[in-house]
Amino acid sequence: MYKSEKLLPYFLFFPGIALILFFTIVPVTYGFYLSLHSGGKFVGLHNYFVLLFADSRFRVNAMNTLLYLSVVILTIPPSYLIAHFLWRQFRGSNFILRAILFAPFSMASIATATMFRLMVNPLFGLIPNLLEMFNITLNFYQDASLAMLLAVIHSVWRSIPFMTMYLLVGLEQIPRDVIDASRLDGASGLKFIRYITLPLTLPFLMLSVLMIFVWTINDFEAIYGLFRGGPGYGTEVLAIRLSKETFMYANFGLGAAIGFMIAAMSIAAMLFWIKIQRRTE
Amino acid sequence: MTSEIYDDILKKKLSRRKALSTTAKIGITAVVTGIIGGVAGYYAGLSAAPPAKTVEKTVERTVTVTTSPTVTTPPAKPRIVRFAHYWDPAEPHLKATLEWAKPIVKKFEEDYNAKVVWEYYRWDEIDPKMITDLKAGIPHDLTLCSPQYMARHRLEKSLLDLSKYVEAQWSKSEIEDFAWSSVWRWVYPLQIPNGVHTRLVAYRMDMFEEAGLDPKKPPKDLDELIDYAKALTRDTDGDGKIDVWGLAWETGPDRGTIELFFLPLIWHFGGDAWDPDTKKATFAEEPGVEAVRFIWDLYYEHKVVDPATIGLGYSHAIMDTFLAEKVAMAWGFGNYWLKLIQDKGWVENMIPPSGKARAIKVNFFITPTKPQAQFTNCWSYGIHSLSEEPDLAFELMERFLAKENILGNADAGMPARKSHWEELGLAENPVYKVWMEAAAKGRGTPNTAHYGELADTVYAMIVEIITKKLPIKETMKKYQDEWNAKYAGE
Repeated sequence: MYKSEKLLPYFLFFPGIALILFFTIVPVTYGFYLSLHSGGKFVGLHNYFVLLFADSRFRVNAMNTLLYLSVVILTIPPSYLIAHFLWRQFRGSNFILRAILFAPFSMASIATATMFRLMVNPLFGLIPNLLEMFNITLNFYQDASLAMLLAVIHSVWRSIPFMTMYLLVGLEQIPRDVIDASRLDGASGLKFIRYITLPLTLPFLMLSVLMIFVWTINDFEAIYGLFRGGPGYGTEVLAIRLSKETFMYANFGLGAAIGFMIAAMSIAAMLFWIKIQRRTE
Repeated sequence: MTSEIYDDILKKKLSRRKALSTTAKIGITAVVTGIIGGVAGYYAGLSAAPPAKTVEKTVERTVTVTTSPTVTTPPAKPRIVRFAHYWDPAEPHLKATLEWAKPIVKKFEEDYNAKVVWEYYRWDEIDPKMITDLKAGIPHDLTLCSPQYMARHRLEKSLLDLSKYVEAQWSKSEIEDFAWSSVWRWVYPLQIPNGVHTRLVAYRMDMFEEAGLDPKKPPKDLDELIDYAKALTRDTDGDGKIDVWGLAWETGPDRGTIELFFLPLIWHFGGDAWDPDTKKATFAEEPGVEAVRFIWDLYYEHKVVDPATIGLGYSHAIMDTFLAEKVAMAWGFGNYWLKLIQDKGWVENMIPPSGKARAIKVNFFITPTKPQAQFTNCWSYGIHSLSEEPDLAFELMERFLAKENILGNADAGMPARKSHWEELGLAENPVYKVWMEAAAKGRGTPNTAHYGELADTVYAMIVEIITKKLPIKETMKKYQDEWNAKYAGE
């Protein structure tokens, strides 16, 4: 074999490998390098220790992130049911319905977040004024639980359309003869979902759970657009804290350390997903 | 051609060595063609003038060809000046500033064959942006900055020293024209102030009269302020709900909370939020506790501030409520809002500043904290350390600061030039006199390099205490200890 023949595969693979190196490995390595520094000095794992053991704000951030991740649980069931409904009732003729359904997802999240925020403004917002007619006072700007609830509602409202469309694609992959055969066997209603559609769309469901998990844990603009992490640290999730440390306080080391913690959570979720997928296969 | 080569490889007609060399040749040819094309395109782009001007050039060339052929020089590319600002067009008072700046920038672009790139950032994010962009290698030229970040700018070396420009280009009298104010000493030589920002308490004279208070005798201390606010808090239509609150106050998610509300109080009670000697946060010491207790009492004890405004930002909590006539006194009222109340007919001849300024429905009194316990700052111009056009950036700054232009900037604040105060007769005007006194008494923020973190911490602490009704002292200590654990000693 000529030497050039040996080199050919490397030559052909080089552009791809170079791109991966440049866009993935280099930034990740540099991010990790940054996380070991503070004010330009090497501090080892100090930033991680500060966050984990000396920063109650970080614990609040982590707890808020977990609460915000309830979006995952709250998005999938309604998305699946809506997708099922569209698939059964409007098969092939639901173009307009799909377009309407997709509208919340097509708008910029910062814009929809601002819209939600204005709607709950205690002075002139629509919702407090409506509630006042029933002598109910809710102040989303002061109550951290309400603020988080609104953030979750907003995120679910935005996520359902995409997830519905995605799961609908999954449902449409089910072969016609399988459906006909199940009908002949008497499968209908919940049984049809339980024994036919759910097992056959499980890969889609699992991937959608993973997607929404990663989106939600990294979400910054939607939740920041609502209350900028407030009231207090009430809706300050890890992504907001990361952004503040890095871009507002210029503490790159601490910001990078938070970034790595978020990445670790995402990777853990991915590994869990791979394990489950292997089991189902 | 490429597919033929690969077909040949597949059919084993071509050796691998030949394939490699041919691929390399193709690659080199593509690169060379690209370079030649790029260079040709670049010069074609330079010589291609805009359509309107093409006609003129064509005529010129026709004439020159018949007489003596000459080479026409292509028009030079405009020099780019990146101007970072916070003038948000969605905010009425900042939109006015933006409109003021546009013709100045247009004239500047014409005079210097420059192109000014407008870069918008939120007012409380512009300084961190300049610092982080320095680290990321992203250049800006002229930037608006706030002195609160002066310590951090100095530490990071994110702004150029302007003294070499000022000393070379400004006369002594011109320097003195700016150097009279306290803010100049705070920001120069890294920045040059474009005005003096100070805050007062704005009050509605007609509401004072309705409540049986003398509008010519506003409160002089905090106790009087509470008494007045109680008298002014009223249910005007008798439905059992408060329609007009005595005082507008902010406990919101921006720097206003610390600067305009917490700091004047902690100074009043004899403390400070940060100690420059020990480089430690001291906001939870006794004066700070008294300050937060005072805020608590405004909402829960005296009930003179609308609790619905807790959590709202500065503009919503103060300006919107005051303009909507829902409050009688607005603490932290900034000079940048004067144009708005002038447009409503509540004052006259205040913007642009004039010796004929007159209070019609609204007047002002100095924040009734002790002397030197009022907050004053400014917006100023600086030049980013990575600026590629520092000379032009300085020229643009001079245009904004020019005597004939600066007074039109409603956001600039009280005049930065001493000569304006004298020439316009502001020092003798009864309304402006109060503003001038406040500017003279003003004080700046703590000189910590972690000011952004300090502001966020104090906001989160106050809002947590007020909304969750937590014990003041213990909660404050928790926040202070945590801040010091991270940043003490800088």
